[in-house]
Amino acid sequence: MMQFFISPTFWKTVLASTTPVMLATLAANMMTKSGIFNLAIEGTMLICALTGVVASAFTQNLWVGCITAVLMGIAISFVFGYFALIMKGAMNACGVALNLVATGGTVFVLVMLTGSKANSSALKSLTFPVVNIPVLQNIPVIGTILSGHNLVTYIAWVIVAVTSWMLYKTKLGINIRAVGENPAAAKAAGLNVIFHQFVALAICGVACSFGGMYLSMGALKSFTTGMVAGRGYMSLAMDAMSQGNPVIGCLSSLLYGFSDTITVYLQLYSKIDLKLIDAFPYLFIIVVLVIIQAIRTMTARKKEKLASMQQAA
Amino acid sequence: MEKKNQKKFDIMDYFSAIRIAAALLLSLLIVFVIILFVSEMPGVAIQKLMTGPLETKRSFFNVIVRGIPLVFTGLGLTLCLKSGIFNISSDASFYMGAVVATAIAISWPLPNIIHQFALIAAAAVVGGLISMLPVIVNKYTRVNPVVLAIMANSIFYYFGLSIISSFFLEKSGSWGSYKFPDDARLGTMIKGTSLHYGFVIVIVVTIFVIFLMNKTSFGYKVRVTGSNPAFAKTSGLRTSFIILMAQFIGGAIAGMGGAIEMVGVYKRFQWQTQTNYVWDGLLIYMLANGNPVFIPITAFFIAYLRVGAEIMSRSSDLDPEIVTFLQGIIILLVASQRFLYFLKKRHDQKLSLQQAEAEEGGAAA
Repeated sequence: MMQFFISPTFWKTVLASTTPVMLATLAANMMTKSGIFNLAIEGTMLICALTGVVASAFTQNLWVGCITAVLMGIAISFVFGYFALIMKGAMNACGVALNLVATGGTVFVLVMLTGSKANSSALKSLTFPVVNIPVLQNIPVIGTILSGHNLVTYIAWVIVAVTSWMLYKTKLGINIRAVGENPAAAKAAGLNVIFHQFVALAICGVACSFGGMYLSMGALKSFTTGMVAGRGYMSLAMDAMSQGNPVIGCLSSLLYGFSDTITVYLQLYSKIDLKLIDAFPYLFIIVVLVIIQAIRTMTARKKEKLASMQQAA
Repeated sequence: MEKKNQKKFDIMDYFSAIRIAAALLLSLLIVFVIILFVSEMPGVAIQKLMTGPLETKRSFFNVIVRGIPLVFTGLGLTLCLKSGIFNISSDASFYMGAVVATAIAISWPLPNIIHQFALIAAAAVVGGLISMLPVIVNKYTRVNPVVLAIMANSIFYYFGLSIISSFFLEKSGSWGSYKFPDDARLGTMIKGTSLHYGFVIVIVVTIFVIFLMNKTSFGYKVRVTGSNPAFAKTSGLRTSFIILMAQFIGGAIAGMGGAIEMVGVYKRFQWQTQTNYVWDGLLIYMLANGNPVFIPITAFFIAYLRVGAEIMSRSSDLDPEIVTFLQGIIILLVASQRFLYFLKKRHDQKLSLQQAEAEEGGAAA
C-alpha cells in the first residue's frame, strides 16, 4: 500500500499542491519580517482567485486577467495596511474583517455575474498553460517530477527566490527587516516605517494573488466558492515554523503539499473514515509545528539559564 | 475625586458609542449604495432588508431563534478575549458541543429534563476543555494562539463530523444522524413559532456572565489580566490560572450554545459544513464594545440583519451573502481606532484646557 511513495507522480502532485501554500507562506513571511500579523491572506487569495477568473473571462486575455488580479491583491493588502497601520485598528480584527468581506463579496459578485452560488463555470475564463521544460523533461524520474507543471508553479519558485534575495541582499530588504524587528529603532535611524511596511504588503499582495490564481486558473478551470479552504490560515502556521525565512518557509510548505497529497492517497486506499482523513493535513502541520516550537523554546530557555549562570559566575 | 474619574469613564464610553453608531451607519450606507448600483429593484431590496423580519410573527421569532447561538458565542468570546488572548476557538467548542449533545441524546435514554441537563452539561465541559487547548499549547511553544485556534476549529470540525458519520449516521435518506428522542429536545415555548426553551437558558447565562464579569473578583481579575498582564503579575495574581479559567468558562458557554442550538432547533444532526459562528461572535463582541450587557442586543441585531437578508433574497435579485460583506466592513470601521479620532482628540484637548485653567485658578488663589 505504501508503494506510492516511490512513484514520481506522487512527488509531482506534492509539488503541485504545495504551490498555493508556498505563495501564501511567502506572503506570511513578508508580513512577519515587516512586523505585521496578517490574517487576511486567506481572504486576499479568495478575492484574487475570483478577480483573475472574471477579468480573463471578460477580456479573453490571460495576461490582462493576471495583471488585474495582481493589482487587486496589492489593493486588498493596502486596504488592510490602511486600516491596521494608519487607522491603528487591531490587526487580528482587521484580518478577520477582510476575510468576511472576501467570503461575502465573492459569493455576491459570483451570483451577480453567473447566477450560480457554487462556481463560475458559466464564465469562459482562461487558465495558465502547463510548461514542459525542454531538456529536463527527458530525464527519467526528475523530469517527471520537476517538468510539466503549471506556469504559476514556476512563477512561484521565481518569486520565492527573488524575494529571499531581496530580503537578505538588498538595502530595501534589510530596511524592511529592520522595521519588522524594531519599529522604534528603525524610525530613530531615519527609516520611513509605514513606507517599508507598505512595500512588504505589496509583495504580500502579489504572492497572494498568484496563490489565488493558481487555484482558480491552474489547478481548477473555474472559481468555486470558498476554494482557498484554509490554505491562507495554514500558511500562518508554516510561517511560524520558518520564522519568516522565505527559503525555509518554502521547504516547510512542502510539508503541507506532502500531507495534502497523502490525504488523497489515503482516501483511496485505506478504510479510515473519509472525514477523519480530511483533518490529517491540519493535524500533521500542527503537530510538526508544536514539536519544532517546543524544542526551540526549550533551547532558548536553556541558553537564558546558561547566560545567567555565566553572569553569576 | 472619585466621582470625577467616574464621569471621565462615562465620557469615554459615550465616545465609543458614537463611533460604533457612526461605523454602523456608514457601512449600511455603503451596502445601500452597492444595492442601488447592482439591483434592478433597489427600493424593494432595501425595504425587505431593513423591515422584512417585522412583517410576520414567524419571521420575528426566527430572529430570536437565530440570535440564541450568536448570544452564546458572543458571551463565550467575551470571556476569552477579555483575558487578553485572541482565542477564537469558540467554533470548535460550539461544533463539538453539538456533537456531544447528539451523542448523549441518541445513545443515553434518560428521563426528560435530566436528559437535557446532562447533554448541555457534557457539551459545556467538552467545549471548555477544547477552548483551553490553544492557550496551553501557546504557553509551552509560544506559537501564536490565533493560528492554533483557527487550526483547532478545522481539526475539531472534521473530528466531530467523523464521529457523527461513523457512529450516529442514519443510513437512509439525506445525510443526517438518527432522530433525537423527544425527551432530549427543548420544547417550543410559544406554539406556532420556532422559539424554544433555549431562550430561557440564554437569559440565565447572560445574567450569569454580566454578574461574573462586573460584580465578582474573578471578573475583575480577568479584566486586569487582559488589560495589563505585567501589572497583574506583579500584583500577585496567578495570571496563567486566571487566563485558563476564563478560556474554560468561555469555551463552556460556546459548547452549551452548540448543544442548545442542536437539540432546540434541529431534529437530527445535519451540520455538514463548518458553522463559522465565531466571526459573527467577534463582530458582536466588538459592537458591544466588550461589555456583556450589550452582547444580547448586538447579537439579536446581527440575527435581524441575517433574517432580513434572507427575506430580501427571496423577493429580489440579491444574494443574502451581502450581509457577510456588511459585517466585514462594520468590523473594519469599528476596529480602527483612528476612525472619528478627531472627536476624541477635541474632547481630550478641551479636558486638558479645563484642567490647565483650573490649575491656574488654583495657583492664583
